[in-house]
Amino acid sequence: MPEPVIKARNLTKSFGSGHTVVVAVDNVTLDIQPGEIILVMGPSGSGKTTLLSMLGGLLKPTQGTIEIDNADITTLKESALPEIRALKIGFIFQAFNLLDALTVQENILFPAQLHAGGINEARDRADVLINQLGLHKRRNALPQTLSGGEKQRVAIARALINEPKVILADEPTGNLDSQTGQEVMMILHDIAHEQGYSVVLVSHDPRVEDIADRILWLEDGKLDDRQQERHKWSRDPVCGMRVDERTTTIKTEYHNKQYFFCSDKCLQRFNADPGQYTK
Amino acid sequence: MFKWTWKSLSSQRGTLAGSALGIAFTFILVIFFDAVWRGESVQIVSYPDHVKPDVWVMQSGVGNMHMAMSFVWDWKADQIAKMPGVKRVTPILYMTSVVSAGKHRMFAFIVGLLPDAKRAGPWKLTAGRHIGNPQEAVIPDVFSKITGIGIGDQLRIVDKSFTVVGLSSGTYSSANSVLFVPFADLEEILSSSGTYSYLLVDAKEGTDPNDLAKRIRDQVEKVNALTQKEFVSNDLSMAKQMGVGIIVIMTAICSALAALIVGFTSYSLVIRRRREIAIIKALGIGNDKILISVIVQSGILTFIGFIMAMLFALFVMPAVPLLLPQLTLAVSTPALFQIGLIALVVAVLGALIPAWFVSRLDPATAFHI
Amino acid sequence: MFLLAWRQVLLDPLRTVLTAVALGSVIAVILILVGFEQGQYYQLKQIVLNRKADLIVTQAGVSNFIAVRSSIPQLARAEVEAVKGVINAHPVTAIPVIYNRNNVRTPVYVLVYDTWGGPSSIIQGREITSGKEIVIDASLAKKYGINPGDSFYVTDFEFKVVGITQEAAFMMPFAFINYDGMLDLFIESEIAPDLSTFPLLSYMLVELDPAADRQSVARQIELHVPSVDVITPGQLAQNDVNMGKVFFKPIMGLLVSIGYIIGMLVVGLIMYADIRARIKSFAVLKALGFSFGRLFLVVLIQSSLLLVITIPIGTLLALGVSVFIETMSPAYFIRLFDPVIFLQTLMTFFVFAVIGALIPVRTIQRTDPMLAFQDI
Repeated sequence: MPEPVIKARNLTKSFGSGHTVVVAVDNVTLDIQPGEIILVMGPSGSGKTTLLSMLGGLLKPTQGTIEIDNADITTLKESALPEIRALKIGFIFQAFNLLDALTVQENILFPAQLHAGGINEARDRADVLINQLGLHKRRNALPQTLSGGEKQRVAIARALINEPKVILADEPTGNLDSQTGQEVMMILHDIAHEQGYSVVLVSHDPRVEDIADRILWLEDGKLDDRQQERHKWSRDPVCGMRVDERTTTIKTEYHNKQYFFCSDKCLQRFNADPGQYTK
Repeated sequence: MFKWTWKSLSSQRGTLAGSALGIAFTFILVIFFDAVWRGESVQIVSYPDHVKPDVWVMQSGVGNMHMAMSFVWDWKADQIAKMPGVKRVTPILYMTSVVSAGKHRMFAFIVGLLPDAKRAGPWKLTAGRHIGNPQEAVIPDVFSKITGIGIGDQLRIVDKSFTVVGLSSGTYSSANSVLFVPFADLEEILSSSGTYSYLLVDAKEGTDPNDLAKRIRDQVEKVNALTQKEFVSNDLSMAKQMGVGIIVIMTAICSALAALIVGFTSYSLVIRRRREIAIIKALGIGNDKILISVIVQSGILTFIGFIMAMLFALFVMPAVPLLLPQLTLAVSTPALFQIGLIALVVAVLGALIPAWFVSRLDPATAFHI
Repeated sequence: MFLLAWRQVLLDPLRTVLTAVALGSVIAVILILVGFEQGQYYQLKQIVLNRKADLIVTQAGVSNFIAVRSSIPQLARAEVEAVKGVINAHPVTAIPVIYNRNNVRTPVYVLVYDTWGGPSSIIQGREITSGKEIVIDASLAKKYGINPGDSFYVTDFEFKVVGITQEAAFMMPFAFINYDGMLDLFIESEIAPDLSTFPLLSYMLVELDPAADRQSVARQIELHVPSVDVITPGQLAQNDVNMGKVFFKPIMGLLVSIGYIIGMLVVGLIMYADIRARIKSFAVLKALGFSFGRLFLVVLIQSSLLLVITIPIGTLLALGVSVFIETMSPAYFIRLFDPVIFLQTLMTFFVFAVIGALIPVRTIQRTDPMLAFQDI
């Protein structure tokens, strides 16, 4: 078993104090292996982004330790964290977050100035990434002229330019259509499985599950490994939408049978006249 | 729409404060420039304004005091003193020169006073006494404050030394401070005898100064006689019109600058909120309403800058001469009204570019990220 | 970093143009104020230097040329010329008069000259050849709409304008007449009750033998003619400049300081607006591992680039406005390009502007990199 790239132990993050304290991440322990794709799922406000931010050195945990490449980043000074982020971690954001003023190539090369070799040494790596990600025709284009998929490919290339240990992606398909989202997923799959990068994804997109090696469920700050039992689908009796019995909280019992709903509205309609929906 | 405009603006407190301050300072520069010029102009007539005779008599062809030379034979003073309606004639000798005291230099109006001519002398002494002996001088107290030259110290006018015996108030200005020395000493410096420069004529009660001035002009050969009002107004208008050109141009530049600051800020705010504006357009709100909101935005910015400038002019500027006593500032109400009018123009001009941008903004932008 | 800063400057051309013109205007205001002050000193200096003397003789105790009364005894001229090394002592008399037409008054400094010291930069017409002629400064000519050939009354005495020169100092236009003209003016007009009250000789412009030593001749003159002082033109000019500084420095210093404050605020505002508009980019850069120092550098480079672009714009604007001012009111001379003062002004502006640019940098420092995850 290779040494994990990230070792997170008993991570806790709370905001506020006294009776207003909110525990966003609660005692999470997690190892991320090289080349592994981990998908973190969970309802809104469950602490996914907080967890991702702590793993990326953007946020200090209230308790616990995070080792990246055997270095405990929780003990490092604030001023030492940028270097860790620059060299060990690559970020991919839902909103792409490219620098509008720079071209595709310049965006990709931009973080390379933080690498020991600088931008000049990174040019070959950038060329490889541009070709690999099918951006060679858009090399000199400005972000505003790119499609969503192209923007996200540029963001992926930017995340990889300093050859980090781990890629942290926050809803990478969130702003993309289904086909483009699929493409981006395949790219992430390839960089993990073919090039050995570890990838931690936060997503609501169930299709991402197909490429994940491990799926973690985060709810109320607590982590749950759900690789074996992913979903249990049923139909909303009112509107007919597919609902995951394991994640939805909107449910009721009628004649000793459980019914699951997509929304409170459907539940209200059901309660008004259950007979109509249970024929 | 107004609520949205105000909320948009007030949510960007840093931008609002920065630009309002920038606008305020450009207005302050205009007010300051005007106040300095006006202050110096007022100071130019400080002497005639304070000694206030009913009629000034001077050499024919001369109509003022600032930078002028005038010689009137001494016997004409006697002639005027005997005229009906004349209460008193106080002659003075006058020249402009550079006064040196140690390493300090001061451009000054030097008034030579006869021994009994306190009436034409300093109107307020803040220290020491009036001149009484030869080669004594009364200097402005501000000059003393700036240079440290005080009572008992020496100063030179041309090649003659004087001892400072008194400090007078209200007689300093960068352009023309007023110094008082004995008549005989100034006569020596001027190499003149039997002549005066100006005669300060006080009329008896019930005598009309205009009538007296006319009678003096008619009856006394080769002299000009003007009432106090005419005499002061001649100097004041000359001093003011010397600065009119540069004040107008500086006002124009500063106003353009203020308009640019308003324009820049308004444009930046519009750019930042372009998506919201596109959404508003997509919701069916017409261009006219949005344009009005842009103008209101510029108006608010300019108004805040204007108010800040007014507060500065009314409360801070009066304190400036305490720190820099060599400055005489005269903030005038018309100048402040003028800034108000300029502010209106600035607000409209500043709204032009953002208005142009807003009118061209495509509502479809609402659908873009 | 430079690339990002540069591209940022170019990203929104309209905004950049607006920024450049706003900043350029601030620079122009400062340059014009400084130029106005320097112009006054330059005019005070040139009015003396243009008299082209090797040494200038004044009344003992008088060490200025402008706005002072200097009166030298007539006989002193022969005594000065008797000193070895002196070729000529050209007389010059200064008479301040108030020119009044239609109740619009202007103080005019009339210089009376004989063989030396006449108008040095005639732009229209010619020099004086007779006693009834006068050459006047362009600002006076423009103010009253006077052209060569027109009458020019000093008190009641009529001169004929034969030339327009460009000579003014201390915001006062100069006029030139010869000694015949002065005597006619004194005798025929009522400018003085008798000649004894008026200085007939104010200064002497000393022309030296090229082989003579200036300092030793000056000492000799002062030794032999106790009623006079001898000053080099440079020193006399400097004395006038120093006197001018007493007048202008406090006023202009304060106005220029306000100009610098405006510059600082405008740059601060521009950079603040820019940082606010790109706050998410800064958050992303922080997330990507860029330290605050590097982001600070971006702002510093960007503001410096803006200034480098706007300084020529400001200079051109100032040049245009100064030409306009000088055309409209020729009494004001705006001296923009005194190399030392020009560079000093721009450097000071640069420092103020950079301070202004750094004020909003705290916003970046406070920016949470977590903002990169938000949809703003």
